[in-house]
Amino acid sequence: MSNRILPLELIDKTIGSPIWILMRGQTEITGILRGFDDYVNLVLEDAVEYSPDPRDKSVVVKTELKSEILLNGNHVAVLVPGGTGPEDSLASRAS
Amino acid sequence: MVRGPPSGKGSKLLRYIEHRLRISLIDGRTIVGTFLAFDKHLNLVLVDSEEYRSVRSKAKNNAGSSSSRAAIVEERVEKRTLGLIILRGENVVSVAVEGPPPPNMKAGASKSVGESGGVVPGVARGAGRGAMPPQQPPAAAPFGVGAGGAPMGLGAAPVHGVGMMGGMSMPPPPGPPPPPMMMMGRGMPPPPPPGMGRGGGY
Repeated sequence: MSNRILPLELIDKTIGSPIWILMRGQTEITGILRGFDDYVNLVLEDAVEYSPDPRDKSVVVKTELKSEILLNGNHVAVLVPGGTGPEDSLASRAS
Repeated sequence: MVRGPPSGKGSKLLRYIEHRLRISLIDGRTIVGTFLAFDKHLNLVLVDSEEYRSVRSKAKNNAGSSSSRAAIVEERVEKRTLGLIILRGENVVSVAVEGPPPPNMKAGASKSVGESGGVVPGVARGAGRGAMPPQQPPAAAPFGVGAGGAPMGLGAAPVHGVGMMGGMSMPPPPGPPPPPMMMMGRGMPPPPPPGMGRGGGY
C-alpha cells in the first residue's frame, strides 16, 4: 500500500523554489526554501513576514527579514509550494 | 464499496483520497480541498484548496441611538484560494468529507491556474511518481495531470528530484524500452514499471 506522494516528499521537491507558509494565527511568511528537517523547521532565504499590526489587526505589516532565517516548525500550519504570499494575485483574486 | 475490509489504520483515510475534504484547524481556520495524500502525522496534501477564516472586525455604530452597545462586532468569512498545500497534522482538529471526488479534476485544476495567472502552472511531473491508487485505476490518469497542473511552480525550475526518482536510480525494466522522457510530462505513462516512483525519499 504505497501512498503516492508523502507530504514531506512534496516539501522536499519545493527546495529551491518559493514557498508560502501560513503560521498558526495570522502570521505568514514567504521565501525561497533552502531546507527543512523532520520537524518541518525550515531554512528560508529572502524571507518576508506578513503579520497583523498589534493595534489594528486588520492591517498587515510586511517585514523583510534580510538574511537567511531558520523558522521553527512548531507553529507552521500550512505550506504552499510555489506560493509568493498574500499579495499574490492567485490569493487576492479569489476573494 | 468494492474494497475489502479495512486493514490497518490508514485505510479509513485512504478511502477518501481524491475526495473533497473540509478540515478545521486549531486556530479556527477551515480548509477545503481535494485530498491527495497523508502520512502518519496526519500531514495532508490538498489541491485546489481554499481557506476560510472568520474575521472579527468592529463596525462602528453610526446610529448612536442605541448607546448600550458601543460597537457591533461584525463577523465575516474571508475566503482565499491557496491551491496545492501541505497541511501540518499538528494543526488538524477535524476532518469532514465535503463531497465526492470532483469529476473534472484534471480540467478544473489546470484551468483555475491558467486563469489566475501569476503562477506558472507546473508541468505534469506527477507522472513520475508512478504508484497508482489501488482502488481507482481509471481515476489515476487525471490525478497525475491534476497534481502537476496545480500551482506548485515546480515544473519550470530544475527542482531537486522532481519526477525522475525511479528513472534515475534504477536499471531499465526488461522488455520494450521505456517511452521517451517527453511522455513523462503528459499524464500517466501506462502502467509504471514495478517499483518506479518509490526510488527515493522517505
